[in-house]
Amino acid sequence: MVKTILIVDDSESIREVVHFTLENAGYNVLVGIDGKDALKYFDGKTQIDLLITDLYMPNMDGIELIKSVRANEEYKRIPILFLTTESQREKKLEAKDAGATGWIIKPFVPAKLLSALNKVLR
Amino acid sequence: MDEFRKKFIEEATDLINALESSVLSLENNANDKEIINEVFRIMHSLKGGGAMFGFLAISEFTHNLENIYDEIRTNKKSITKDLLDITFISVDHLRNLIKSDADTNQAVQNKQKELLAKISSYVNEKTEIVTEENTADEQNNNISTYYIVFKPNKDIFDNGTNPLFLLDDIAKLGNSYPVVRAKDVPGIGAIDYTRCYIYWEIFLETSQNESEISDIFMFVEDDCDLSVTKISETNTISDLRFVELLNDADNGVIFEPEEINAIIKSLKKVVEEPQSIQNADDKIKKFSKESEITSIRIATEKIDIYMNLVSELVTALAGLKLSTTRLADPDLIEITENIENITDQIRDNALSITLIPIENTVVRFRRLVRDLSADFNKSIDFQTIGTDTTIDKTLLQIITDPLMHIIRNSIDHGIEYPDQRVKNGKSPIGNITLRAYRSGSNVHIEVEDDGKGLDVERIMSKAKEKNFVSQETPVSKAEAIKVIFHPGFSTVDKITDISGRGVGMDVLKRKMFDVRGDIYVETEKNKGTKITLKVPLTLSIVDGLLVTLRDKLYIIPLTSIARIKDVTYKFLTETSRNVAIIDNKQVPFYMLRDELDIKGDYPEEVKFIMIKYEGKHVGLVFDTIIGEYQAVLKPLGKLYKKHEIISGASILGNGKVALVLDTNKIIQKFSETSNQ
Repeated sequence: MVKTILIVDDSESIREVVHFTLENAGYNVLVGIDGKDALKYFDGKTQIDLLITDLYMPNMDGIELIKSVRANEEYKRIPILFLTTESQREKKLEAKDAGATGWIIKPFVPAKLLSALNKVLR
Repeated sequence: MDEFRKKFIEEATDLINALESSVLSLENNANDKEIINEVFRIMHSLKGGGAMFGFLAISEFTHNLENIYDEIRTNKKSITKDLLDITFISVDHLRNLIKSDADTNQAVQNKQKELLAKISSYVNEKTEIVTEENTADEQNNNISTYYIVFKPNKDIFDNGTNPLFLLDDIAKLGNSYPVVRAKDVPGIGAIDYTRCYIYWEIFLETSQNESEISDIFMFVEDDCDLSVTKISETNTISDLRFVELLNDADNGVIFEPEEINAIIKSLKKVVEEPQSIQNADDKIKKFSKESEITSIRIATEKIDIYMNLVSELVTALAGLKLSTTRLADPDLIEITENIENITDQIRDNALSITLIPIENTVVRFRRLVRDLSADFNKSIDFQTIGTDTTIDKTLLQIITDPLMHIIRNSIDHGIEYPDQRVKNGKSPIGNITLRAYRSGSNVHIEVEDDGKGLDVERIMSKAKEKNFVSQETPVSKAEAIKVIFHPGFSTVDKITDISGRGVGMDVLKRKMFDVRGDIYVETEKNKGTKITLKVPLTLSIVDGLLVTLRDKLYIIPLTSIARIKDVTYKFLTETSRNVAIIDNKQVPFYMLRDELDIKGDYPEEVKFIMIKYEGKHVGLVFDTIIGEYQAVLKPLGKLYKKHEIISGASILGNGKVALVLDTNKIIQKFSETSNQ
């Protein structure tokens, strides 16, 4: 089955790069512009195999989104990756505590994104 | 990437404007957490995006500014008027940085230095530039053996981790010998399937260093006990005695470090003793190596027979598995698992035998480019990348013609004449690059030229003239490009001279679809065109979804399925003209029981399977879904040759036959009949 990945980021350019890369790699891609927007996909009907989220976003940030997904009975076990930068060590731990599976360091090239993805989704 | 850069510039402009207004309001409400967070977030976005899209000056600059606001956010620093002043100047400076001449403009660069110095006086740490981590692997050819203990925490599944993926990754680093420890697994009644009860000890011989191994576990460092120890500087696992001795020492719980050391030592002794003989041994080895035959030629028929037998084996195994499940005999289960394992390996090996590198074909293209460029008086540099990528031999034959076609078009219509190129500010020598790479279970082959690109506007006006698209609605570039695949778009009228690529693109597309592949076009005026062919690695095995209509079984290739929806039969009968509204979108659909003339009524609940078709979704309605199924394709006899909508058959484990549906052909066929 084609895997579906939800990408959540408030930056349109990052969203597009990720979207483009993932779609080219054969994934089905859903897009959310912030945590609150992304919640609409977690309706129990939509298939989501992986969530990739930014941490800093307006309305609802990445940490809260991760927590809410982990609290959702239907989706609590999906892998979650978050986007972060090298210097954000504490934030990384916070996101892990919230239930994230792993992370992708910005800046990334498509190959790096796909290899991070390969760690959690097969 | 240029498109993305442009996007980023637009976005950065918005962000900088938002930053300015936030800093303005901060001037009046210096302690408003919300606004400080906002400022931090914007800088963070600028930093990440800047680094991503090559605006390194921006990411360098915002990095330190972000740090200051991070400290304010966490109450380690407070806002001063001085800081706000610098931030305002920074906003202006950021605006200059996204201008195109920022890298060369001396004034901007001086300003950057001056501001960075000011900012770093605010932070204690030194200015550092965010850089890509060094990806150049220092390849070390010396193989060492490592001993890894990986004990996942019981709740490791909770954050979406699959420990088996990690074991797979380890296996990829080299020869590995894993030992599973399952002593903590409770009795069947007491198992909580959300807990992980087992742990692993793994012996790995690899040329990679320790950090490569730890890298695999980077996501789970805090969720497991992990130890990686180098136990020897040689490929110890390949020594059969090692495994033997290890098995003898196994106490079922965990190996003691002393035990492992003792085993390694005992191995060494045996190796070291016959030192004097070793030299002679080496000579013999060297001699025998030279005379070793490393490859043999085999008639393709024999390979076909082998492949066929392998598929029979896979089928027979499926039958065995069914019986095993029914009989539930523990011994039998173990044997079956063993056979399954071996069969998987035989199958993979058989597949790899039928794959050949595309280099074999590329040689012909070199000649083609050379001859054609002479014919057209154009000089062209033809580069190939990744030609050692392998692909099924039948598929290679199938895609050779399309590739030839694409290259010919590039030379004929894509690449301009030398004087024209010079006029457009390009080098007089045109470039065509053929790039092949593997992605998942597909091979991508790209042909890229730096010619004039497709004239999208003229394609559109032609398309409107021919009523391929509606006259009123505006059409995006991507949609416009799709028009060239429209049957009849090319052959009618002399479009080739304007589009550069009219000839038979619809034929190419159909050919690719026939082999479950796809074709993509990217183009930019005056920059060039890139055409990508995507083909599956092999034709003989298809990952499919097993579905039913009454008592009949069908397989739909997974690659063509977009989504699956449960609907009621009543819902579908109440639609008009066979178009259902699914999630606010119109989806045309076909009731396959009717179309395939299968008697009887649909059940109340039916499966609405949405198929990707020409960029849209089309629904096919089935009774039920049985599950995913890896089907070994068998050709149908010649009596069935004319049944285009069926691409093959597969024999299931229980002996039943399932037909593999060619969804593109089905939709094509039924849409034709319903239009008449």
